[in-house]
Amino acid sequence: MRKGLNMTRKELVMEWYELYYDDIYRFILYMLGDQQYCEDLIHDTFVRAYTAYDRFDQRSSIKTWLFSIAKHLVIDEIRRRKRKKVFMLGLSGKKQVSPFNVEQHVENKEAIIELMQDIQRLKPSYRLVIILNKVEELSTKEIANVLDWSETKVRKTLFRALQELRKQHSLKGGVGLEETT
Amino acid sequence: MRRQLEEDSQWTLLKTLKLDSDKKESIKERIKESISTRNYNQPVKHRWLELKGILATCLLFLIAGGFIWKLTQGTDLQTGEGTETREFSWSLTEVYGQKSEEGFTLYRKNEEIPVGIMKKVNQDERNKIIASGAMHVQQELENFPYSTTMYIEHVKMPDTSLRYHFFIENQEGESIYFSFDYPKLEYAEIFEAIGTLKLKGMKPYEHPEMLYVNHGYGRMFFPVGIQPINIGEDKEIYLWEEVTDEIFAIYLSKLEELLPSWTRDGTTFTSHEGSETVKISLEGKKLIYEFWYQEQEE
Repeated sequence: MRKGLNMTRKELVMEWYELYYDDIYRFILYMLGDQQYCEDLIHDTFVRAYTAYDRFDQRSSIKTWLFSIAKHLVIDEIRRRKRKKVFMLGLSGKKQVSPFNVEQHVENKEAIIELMQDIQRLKPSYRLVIILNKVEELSTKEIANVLDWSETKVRKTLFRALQELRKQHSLKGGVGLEETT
Repeated sequence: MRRQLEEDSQWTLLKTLKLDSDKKESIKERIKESISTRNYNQPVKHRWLELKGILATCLLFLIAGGFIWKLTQGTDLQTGEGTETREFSWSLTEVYGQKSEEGFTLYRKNEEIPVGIMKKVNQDERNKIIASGAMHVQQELENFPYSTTMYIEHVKMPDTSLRYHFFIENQEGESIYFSFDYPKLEYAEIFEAIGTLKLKGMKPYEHPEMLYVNHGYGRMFFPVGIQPINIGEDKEIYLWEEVTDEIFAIYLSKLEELLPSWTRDGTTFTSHEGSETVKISLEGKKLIYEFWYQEQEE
């Protein structure tokens, strides 16, 4: 991947962008369910990778490292929204409906949105492991690296997350989701 | 078997989503623009090359670098203990000010990204700062070392979601202005800085009781002077050096006063509409908050 020692940090980060923008995009979009914020956080992920390059210890892959940066941004955003939601509830007494959209013209858009909504109903830690494992196809070890968890915790959380998702499906009368293998 | 195939096809469906090319390019340009404002465009070196020779030169660095730094930058660090020329100081030793064109740029130790600024502003400049951002909160901070007006701005910038602005009027009719970026600094750190601030030539007020503040948009009140140990999604742990069982009990009673519509059950507080529950516990010097929200899935 490295083209040589004379590559600038900027060139390197832009190369990572070309390689991994789709992965980071999907991860953030499925975590937040919000296209506009998703674009902001993709931007923030790569800018932070640029500024934090010196702290990248190269023990993990670049993709895994980018996921861990994106994870921090996403969790911060979820916390911020949660607090803001409570704050706004206190002010208005009305529920705030979070925006949820996929602006793209894609095939099976409805099905994707339905799945995203199902994932959005999960708590953030479940969302993290499901997206990283089922969508981004990271191994348990890689997910443990991204989340700074033990591999056992990743396996347990993934098992529970899939159970929860399956429960949601059965409540809606939808197709059941099998447990993880 | 059929269900497994259906499950697989659903995950496959999620994998097909891609960023469209226009958006990809526009984000790419934004990233390039943001990166260009920073200054790291030197060739990237492999870590093993960076390490090569370090052991041989580190001693020389420590001695010579220390001398050079002392000669050229020594007076720029205004918050260090014992610095006679300091413009301001606080007990948040993690954060220091470095002289800039307009005032001081604030940095966390060993990090190169600024976490805030300090400068003197006149009334026009103050008004411009207030008008330039989406200020969600305006509040007079009572019993702080100086009469302080706080604004919280909602921002969307790399590394920053909220920007705190503090204005302290001096005798010349100017304002001493501080800004701090969250989450570069945790809320507790920001309030530790302002809560223990000492300005050169201005005597601070020393309030005999504990000060309490909200963190961000939250309604819970936290003591000023606690240090973050671990801030998680639903659990926050702080170090509270001064705490004793008696001080903790006073804090809990104070919360009843500050949150009159909330109900208290032991050390657990629930908002009147039931949307937020906070359990507060003390383990030695560790102050622990656990949050539950009504709409949160569990």
